[in-house]
Amino acid sequence: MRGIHILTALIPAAMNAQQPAQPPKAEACSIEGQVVSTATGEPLPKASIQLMQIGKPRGEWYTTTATAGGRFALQDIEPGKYRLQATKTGYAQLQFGVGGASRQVTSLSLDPGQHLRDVVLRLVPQAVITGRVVDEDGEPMPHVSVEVLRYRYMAGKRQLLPSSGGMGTNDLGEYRVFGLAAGRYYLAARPQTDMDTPYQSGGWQSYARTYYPGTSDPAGATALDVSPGARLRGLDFTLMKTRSVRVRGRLVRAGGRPIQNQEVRLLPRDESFSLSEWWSFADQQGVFQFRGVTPGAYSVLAEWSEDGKWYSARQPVDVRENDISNLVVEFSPGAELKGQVRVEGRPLASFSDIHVGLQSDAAFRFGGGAFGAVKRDGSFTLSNIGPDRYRLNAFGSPEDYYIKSALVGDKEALDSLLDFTQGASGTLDILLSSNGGQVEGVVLNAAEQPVTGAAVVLVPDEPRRAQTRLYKDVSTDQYGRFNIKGIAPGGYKLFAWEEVESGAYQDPDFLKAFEALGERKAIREGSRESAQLKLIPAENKKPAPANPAR
Amino acid sequence: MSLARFAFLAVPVLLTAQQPVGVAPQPPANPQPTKPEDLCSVEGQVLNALTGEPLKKARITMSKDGDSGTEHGTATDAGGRFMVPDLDPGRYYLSANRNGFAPAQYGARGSNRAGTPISLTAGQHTRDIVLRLTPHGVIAGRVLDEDGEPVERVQVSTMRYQSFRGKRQLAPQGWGVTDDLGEYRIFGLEPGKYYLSARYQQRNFMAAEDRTASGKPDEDYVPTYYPGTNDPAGAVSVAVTAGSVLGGTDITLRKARTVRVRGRVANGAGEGLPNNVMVQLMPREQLYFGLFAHQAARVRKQDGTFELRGVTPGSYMLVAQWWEEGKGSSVRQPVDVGSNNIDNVSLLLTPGVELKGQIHVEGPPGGVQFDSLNVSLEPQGFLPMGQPNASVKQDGSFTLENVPADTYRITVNGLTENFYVKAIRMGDADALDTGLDLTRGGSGALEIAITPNGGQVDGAVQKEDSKPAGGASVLLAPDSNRQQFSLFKTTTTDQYGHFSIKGVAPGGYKLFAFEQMDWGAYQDPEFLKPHEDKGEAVAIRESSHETAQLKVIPAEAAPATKKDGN
Repeated sequence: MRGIHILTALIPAAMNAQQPAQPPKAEACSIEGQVVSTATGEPLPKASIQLMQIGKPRGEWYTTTATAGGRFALQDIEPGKYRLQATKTGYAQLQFGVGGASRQVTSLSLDPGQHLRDVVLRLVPQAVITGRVVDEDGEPMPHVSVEVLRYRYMAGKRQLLPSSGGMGTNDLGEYRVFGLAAGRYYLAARPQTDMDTPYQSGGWQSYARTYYPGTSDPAGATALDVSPGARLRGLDFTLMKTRSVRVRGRLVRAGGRPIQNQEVRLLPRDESFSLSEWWSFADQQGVFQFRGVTPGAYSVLAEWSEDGKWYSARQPVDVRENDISNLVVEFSPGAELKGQVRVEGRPLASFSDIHVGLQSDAAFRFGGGAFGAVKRDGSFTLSNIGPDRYRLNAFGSPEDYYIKSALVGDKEALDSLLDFTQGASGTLDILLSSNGGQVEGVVLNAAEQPVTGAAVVLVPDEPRRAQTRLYKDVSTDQYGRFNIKGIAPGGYKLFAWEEVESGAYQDPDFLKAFEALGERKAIREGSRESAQLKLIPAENKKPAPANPAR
Repeated sequence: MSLARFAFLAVPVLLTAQQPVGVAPQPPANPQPTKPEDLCSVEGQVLNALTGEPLKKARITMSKDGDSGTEHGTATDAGGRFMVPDLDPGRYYLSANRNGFAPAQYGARGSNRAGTPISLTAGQHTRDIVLRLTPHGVIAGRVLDEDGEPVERVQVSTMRYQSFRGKRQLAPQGWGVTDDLGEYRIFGLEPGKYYLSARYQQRNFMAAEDRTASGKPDEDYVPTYYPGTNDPAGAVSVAVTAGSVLGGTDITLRKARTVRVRGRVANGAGEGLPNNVMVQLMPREQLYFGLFAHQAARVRKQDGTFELRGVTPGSYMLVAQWWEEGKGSSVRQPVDVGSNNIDNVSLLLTPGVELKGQIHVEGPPGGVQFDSLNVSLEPQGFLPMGQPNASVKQDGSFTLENVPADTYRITVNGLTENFYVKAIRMGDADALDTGLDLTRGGSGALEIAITPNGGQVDGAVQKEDSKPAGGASVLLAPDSNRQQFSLFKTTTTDQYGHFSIKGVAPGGYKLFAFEQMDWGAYQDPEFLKPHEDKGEAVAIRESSHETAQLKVIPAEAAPATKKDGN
């Protein structure tokens, strides 16, 4: 509690801690400020400003453009919590996923009628990477997608994932990746279409995804450390050719009749976040064909509907050195699971924003999974559940609610993998509670000053560390304050980082170094805790491991 | 997934090459795999059209006429030669593309023209195919704002005049997006005259609401034509020649006063407004497929109010759609925007119509695989939204779901042999001649009668010098009732100048052969007038099999498209 009272002078009156379910006609707010460059301090004209509401489903989204003097003014804003950001050509684009205190994003709290002045948004000059992509004869290759990849945390694991979209090369083979923030990147190039050509001694060859400077193995990729405003030129690739295989088959209904004109995909079977994907289209006879496939374990996936009923097809296929030409992929009716969302505590104003679904581990990127909207009475139906294993994924409830339990029949469904490989049965019962705990407080730096934009992370205690849904992360607002709601009862530790990569704290190796710096909090139903957290400054942050494979 | 029925294309898809209402030989359903001795192959060479030199590493693609599925592909070797083996008999379109050249279809006289399909009969090995690729043109430049500063994320399109349903319109052929330097580069262009248009909106996302605090009237960048005008009539064309790189075609974006369109969306299907309904404003007169929503806004409040900002004057269609549990509601309403704000627009979301129907055979029922048929509705009014369609079940029944209120032409796809649609009725009303009108609500079931006794016309088309005219467009036009578009049939002659039209309803017709014919040209009543005397009369009776020899009507004699310098 020490130090909090110093800030009360800054906190405007009428801080309404209790959010009403439907805000009455609240007094509109406004924000004024300026956008400047971190490099020169000069104002940046015509920057685009985005103000996005957080903390509630279907939040507001406002925009404006800075003037010639770099100034902006937004009016008629609904009170609430927001993220404010600016973008401008020539400056680093905001990277979603770098959570916590990216200095380009400012978290704000607006009380009813509050008019915020003198907000300063700072933009970092962009880094640019250019180069050419050529084939084995040194000739330029057009329509090659060059992707910038970074190691990011996804579901507690460190993965190499695209950071910005793939730019296509032009007829000179040139690519240009711009708008980059500082960081450690890897580059990968792959053709935008799956084409193959005959290989002399039989079979096929095609161009493989090539990591700069010229390997198909991500572990051998060169790390590019990019500083703000850097220009990296001449990063040329020679796209690698590799032996590949064609996979051909037919899509049929149960009983054997072909299904025409459907999209079919081929995905690596055991990698949730693989970057590779092949696509085909079943013709009049239901025949599809994938080209340029490299050996590995895959699944063929397709979806189809008729008469409002949905069917899915999922066929494992193991690809070796030879073409596969007689795959028969049969659709089967997906199973259906009915369910109910019940609420404990304050009744929900509406179920309409809540979505319940099952996420298949294997087919994450294909959207493999069944989702259903929740009806007015809280009931829902998940259809087209193919035989697979799933995790429950429910979202869209207001921030002060938490999922207390989820059961399928009498089986725990909240944190366990649901096995529907033999079909789905039972009903899914989800209990939402408004009786979660709440923690509010402030983050102070070494000089006892409140820190804006600090990343406050709530980490569950040891036995529950693997339950990723229990982690919460928020940014402190312009007063250094934070407020975390809807916390499931239990023991936690609170951390406040100046800068942390989103999801890093779910990695036990990462968290080890900071364990002693967290503040313990025991949360009971309905408890309101407060905390004053000490900032873990950026210098203390462990440098990102160079490459996990080395 | 349920949105897949109405797929919106982010980039407009040009109706090149194949006439969509054409007659393509339909493969029988459930065919036996082709016997190895009946498999065909195609061999040939790709040459540089200017120098005659063979081109290596050119990509070859062969796709079956009327079947958008599996494609066959290969690449040319060091001598520019290629071989595509293991093809089932049928008609194929062959195309080639290579970096540094404009892509081309075999036998096509330009990228918006139909190529010549290659007919392969059982066991045929065609060896003498030559494709000539023209060195491409490149158009590169920058897009600048009114202060001369580069603008990122601008979509620059290269446009040419095309004729759709008899109307000339500028349609995009290629496009590029500007980078952080404001630079764009569009390549792979074939020689011709192009207009450049730049499309940009300051807001990153259409769903964000502009809350700029200023007393000034709204302004935004409007689609601008090179070098810097909003008026297509003032656009300056650039000439692309083979192998040329045009640099410095800079476009200066123009701002214009914009207005707001405000209104309310109500749910005609029940209480409460669905979540996240998006109201879009789309150009009403766009005749090509593909979607460029001019503006969009989300309905955020329960009272259904919305506000579209940054709207430039023009004629539009206001569209809102919503899906829940597989059922769709939609509304579309024309709106003309001038220089004043529009308030009080009222949109009522009404459930899409569910149309149940039945296909039955008049006459001997044998030989129809109902489940290889598909019923599709071609909208006659507002084009860009896609075509509702449904597969037919084994018993001949079908259900078209979520059909927006519009007028449609009904087509049955997949008919084989000489089956043709004899009658379509909706309740008591005819729907074949007059089309299907759902704008006044629709009720009753759709009854489609097909019959196997259509007639067939085969023939050959020759040029003036009696050489075969490959890739010519053959049009079968009914003698009377030229407004009943369902009676027209079109096809393209193969490499021998041969064509075959099946499933023709009995009656009197005239056959025409054109060196080139624009998409939907016959829907313009003026189109055939100058050529009536060149048509060949043919009378079709049930199950008759006629033959015809036609002389091709050369391109120079065809009207309308000379001005754009194609």
